[in-house]
Amino acid sequence: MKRRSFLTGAAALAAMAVAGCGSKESSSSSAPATIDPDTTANLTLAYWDKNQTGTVTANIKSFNEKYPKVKVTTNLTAYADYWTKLKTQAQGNEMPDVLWMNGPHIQLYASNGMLASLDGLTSQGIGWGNYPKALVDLYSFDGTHFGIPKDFDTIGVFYNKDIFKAAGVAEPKAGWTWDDFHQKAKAISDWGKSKGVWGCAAAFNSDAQSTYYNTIPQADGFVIKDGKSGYDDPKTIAGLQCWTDWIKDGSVAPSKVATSTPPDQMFENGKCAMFWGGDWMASQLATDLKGKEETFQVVELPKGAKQATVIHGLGWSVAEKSANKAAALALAAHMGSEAAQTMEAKNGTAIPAFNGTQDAWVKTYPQWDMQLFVDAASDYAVPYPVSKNTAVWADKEPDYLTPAFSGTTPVPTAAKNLADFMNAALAKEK
Amino acid sequence: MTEVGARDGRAVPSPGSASPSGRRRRGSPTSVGAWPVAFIGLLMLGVAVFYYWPIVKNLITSFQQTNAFGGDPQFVGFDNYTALFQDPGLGRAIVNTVLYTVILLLGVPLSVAISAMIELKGLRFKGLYRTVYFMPYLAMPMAVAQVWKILYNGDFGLINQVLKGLRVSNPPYWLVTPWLALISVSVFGLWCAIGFNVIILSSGLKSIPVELYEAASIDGATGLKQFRWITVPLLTPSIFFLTIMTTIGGFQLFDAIYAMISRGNPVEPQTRSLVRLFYQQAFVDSNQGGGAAIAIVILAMVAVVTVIQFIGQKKWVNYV
Repeated sequence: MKRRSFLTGAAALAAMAVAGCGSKESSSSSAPATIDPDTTANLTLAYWDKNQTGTVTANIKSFNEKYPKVKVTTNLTAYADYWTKLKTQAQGNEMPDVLWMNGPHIQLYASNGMLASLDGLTSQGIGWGNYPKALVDLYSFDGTHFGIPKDFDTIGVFYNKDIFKAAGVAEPKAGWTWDDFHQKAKAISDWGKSKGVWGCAAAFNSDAQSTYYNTIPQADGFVIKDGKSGYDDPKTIAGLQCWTDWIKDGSVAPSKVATSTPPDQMFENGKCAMFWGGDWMASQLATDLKGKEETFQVVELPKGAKQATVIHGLGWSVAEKSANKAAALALAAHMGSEAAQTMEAKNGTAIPAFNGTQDAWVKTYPQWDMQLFVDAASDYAVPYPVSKNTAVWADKEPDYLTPAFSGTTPVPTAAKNLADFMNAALAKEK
Repeated sequence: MTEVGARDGRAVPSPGSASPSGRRRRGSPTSVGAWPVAFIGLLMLGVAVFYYWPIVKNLITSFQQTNAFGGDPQFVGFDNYTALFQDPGLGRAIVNTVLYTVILLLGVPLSVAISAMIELKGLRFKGLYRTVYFMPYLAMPMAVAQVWKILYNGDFGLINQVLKGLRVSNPPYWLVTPWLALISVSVFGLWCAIGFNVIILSSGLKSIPVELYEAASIDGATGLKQFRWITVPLLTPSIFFLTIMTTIGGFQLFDAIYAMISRGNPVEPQTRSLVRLFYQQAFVDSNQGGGAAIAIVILAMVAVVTVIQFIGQKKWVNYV
């Protein structure tokens, strides 16, 4: 195994040299296998979630136990500005050495030569088989690894037991279907109309990942396949139509309500019985609902034509033009290690990607059935839809779909227009 | 403006000719000539580097297509402009921007009335009123926008709670209803601007000679007549300044709309301003050439409107 991984590393290096990374870079990356413990370097590390500062700091500390002379400066930027800032830094060749990457952006940065190949990291103990395959693939481009999976997210339905009880509706159980969901949501909305309580709230107009990116595969449709948009596929349209139907009869809070008050706030304040959200919501809910945890629970997403959830996760990437690439690669390898990801698990903000470290995360929330998010990843998750420049079309989805969900544009028309727009955007990527 | 400049122009040569011996100690006329150039030169260097060069660079970029990171620029002629003028979003963005600017301009007469009342003779707590009106200008617009967003909230907002208390049965979702959303944001923008307007106008009011009011009183002009025939005409330089600043500010509308009408809001596409459109193109869609073309359109529109305002001012602005 060791020899084989060494060979892969060597092959990757050869490939990089052939690809012509420039003489300066190749000299620094000629030894990514290990760096000397006495290496002196200054590195910057960029991330966006302040809830994870504790984990990041702890893992830098353990890195410094191995490499005391590498000074790591962290760089926290809120998510809303992270990508704008990173793009500007990339433009000026000033990218942070080690950074958080996500699915919609990985191919854009990888294809423009902004990220370092991580293939050589196998010799530093990174085994790609240790992470869910969907995530390893998400962070690969043209057969090269450009990101080490850091964590992953799947989606579930959080619900408020008290509202179910008050409305006289049975709580949802694993294995439930769209029809079950619809009928429960409708019953609660009818009951709660005078009190301003909705059966379900979901951010379908701003958070595709928590909403229609799940119902589309559940209806056996797809968002993107082989570089083509799936929005004109009848099955995909069925995965959108369900939201319009649910909103139309009041089962799900309409967009004007969900825009005025974000669904997670509605849920925390007892204004809706159910809420579609990712596992990352758990840490917020646990904080905000402290002392009332027992009255809340989480259940897997209802089944459509089949069972599905979208899976996404973050990755650790290294800047191709890093001045201290060898040290940066070592830091990324450390962040992807089992020890570092076990630390992530204890923090509880996101499910760590390293296989086997998830149990510790599940135990962070003993009151809730968090195991379902981990099981979903291995049993029925579908990859997050991405292309080379995802943001260009993904950002336009609400423009087309929100009127469809509100019923002002027929869903098939809106979906067809979105497909046309998306295919034009995809054609420009080549 | 020109009169003042002319007076200064006449004043400069006089010291040299009138009393040469007395002034010599303070420096020769040549050093007086060199220093201003040095001071202005430094300033101009900054202006050139941080204002004119970006404009030139932006103009060049508007004729280019680049990759997502601004690299690999290719000249594409007028392609970016052609695409922009075919974009149905542009017309709506211009309408929205103009509507916003017009509502913001309503703040100028409103501010004149407020500042005239604050400066009324014999009014107590003037300092307090000035502070109260100026405070919103000091607060961070993004933070204040969040508070207004809560006020406007369709279900729990204070405005709708009051309306419901007044037995209005179905008060609107202010920020989620077409047109109403833009007007709501404009009202917020107007509220933010009043503080600055009032400070400028208050200092303008103080520079009006008291004798004019006294003479008017002797002639029997009442308070309202004095306001109409003395205060307003003599405030016109300040009013003109505010009109220019408000128009430019209106055309640059971004933060208020970005903070109050987020992506995913069903009316967001219909409420985009020109700068919001620019942001979308340049930073979200990674189309820097297209974004640069919008920036040029904004620059041209602001320039034209400002020139028109400067030509028009001769008809209504009085410089004492």
